[in-house]
Amino acid sequence: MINFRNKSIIRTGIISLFCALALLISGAFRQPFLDSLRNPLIVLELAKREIKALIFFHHNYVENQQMHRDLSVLSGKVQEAKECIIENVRLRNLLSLKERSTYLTVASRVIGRSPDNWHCAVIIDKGKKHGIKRGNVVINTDGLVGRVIEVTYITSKVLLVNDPEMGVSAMIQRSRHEGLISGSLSATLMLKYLNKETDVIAGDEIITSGLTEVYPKGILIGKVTEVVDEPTGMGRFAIVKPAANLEGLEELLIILS
Amino acid sequence: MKKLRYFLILLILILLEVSFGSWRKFLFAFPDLMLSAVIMYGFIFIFRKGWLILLALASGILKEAVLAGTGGARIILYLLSGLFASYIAKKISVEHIAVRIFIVGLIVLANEIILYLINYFFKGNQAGFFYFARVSLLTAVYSAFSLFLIEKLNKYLIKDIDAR
Repeated sequence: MINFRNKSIIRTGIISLFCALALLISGAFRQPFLDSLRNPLIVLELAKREIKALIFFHHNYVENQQMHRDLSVLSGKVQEAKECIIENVRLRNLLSLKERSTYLTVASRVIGRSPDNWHCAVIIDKGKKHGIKRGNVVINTDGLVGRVIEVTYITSKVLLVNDPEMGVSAMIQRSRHEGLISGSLSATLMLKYLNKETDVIAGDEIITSGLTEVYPKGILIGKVTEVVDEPTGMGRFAIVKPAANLEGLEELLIILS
Repeated sequence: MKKLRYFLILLILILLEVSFGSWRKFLFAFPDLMLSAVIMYGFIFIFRKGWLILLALASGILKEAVLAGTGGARIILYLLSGLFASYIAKKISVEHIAVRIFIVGLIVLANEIILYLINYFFKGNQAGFFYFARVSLLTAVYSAFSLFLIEKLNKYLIKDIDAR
């Protein structure tokens, strides 16, 4: 049995040694540990869903009714959209435009969230085995979600767009002015480095600009809710509500190429 | 073998933290269960620092493994927190649950402030003061009260909790 009842110098030495060792092996330990967490986390996720379904039964019922009503309205719109697609294809052919390439994606499920108040990240159930690489962009049906920052064999960690360490080159869809989206840990993002003359108003949609190699152009990031003058008076910044519900992420798409 | 159950408890707590982390949107912050456990071990292992150090380091490494890269700061903070809790337990009586809760709250609050400052100076964290104050205070309060759960879990898995 380990017994450390020795002199304080030895104790301090052992503490320092353990600290150094811990820091050293921390990186090597992460990947197998994260992989081993996958299955228990999937089970807990299922249990959590059932608990949630019980708690929000009434809310889900009302939402279901509403969705049935919406469905009938949308069915009509789908027919209109089909007509538009056919017309679009015809016009594209006329203009000899290349058909826009689609992304190669992998669908994945969120199985955990980073338990840290100062970072925003989630753990997903796909990793190297499924072709995911560090730096892959993550989206969902609503818009940009984040970027893969760590990959193990069967899991990955995704840094969300509202993390302060994230920076996304963005563009105001209406006026085509550019800025930089960064996270602020809260439910909103900031579009920074805007001039005083930048044409931006509340309600403008913000998309990725495609200036950097990382993020493909045209992915919806969010909508401007407020435009604020910087305290220095040199420029402005916009507060953006993310298109994706970052607090309630469940299924994600990882863009492989 | 009995001592290994302490590590099992840490594994259960990290699974709970990762799995129920998304409930933060209802709670506005999430208790640092691992830190609460380390502080509790500090109260238990007053004269057996070896085990305290091992458990604190294990907690730090487990926590670091699931975080979005904090550079190992938590490993050192957890170790220092455990040793500080052990030092306090040597100086004053921690028999009453209210005293233990108060100490856990204070240490977690100090940890959150240090982590915020690390993020602010080294990573350009832009969280406003009120966000920081709210999150730090709530984390401290939740962590302090999570001590009930952790002590119950310990008592259930390890029958004679008093290893002093």
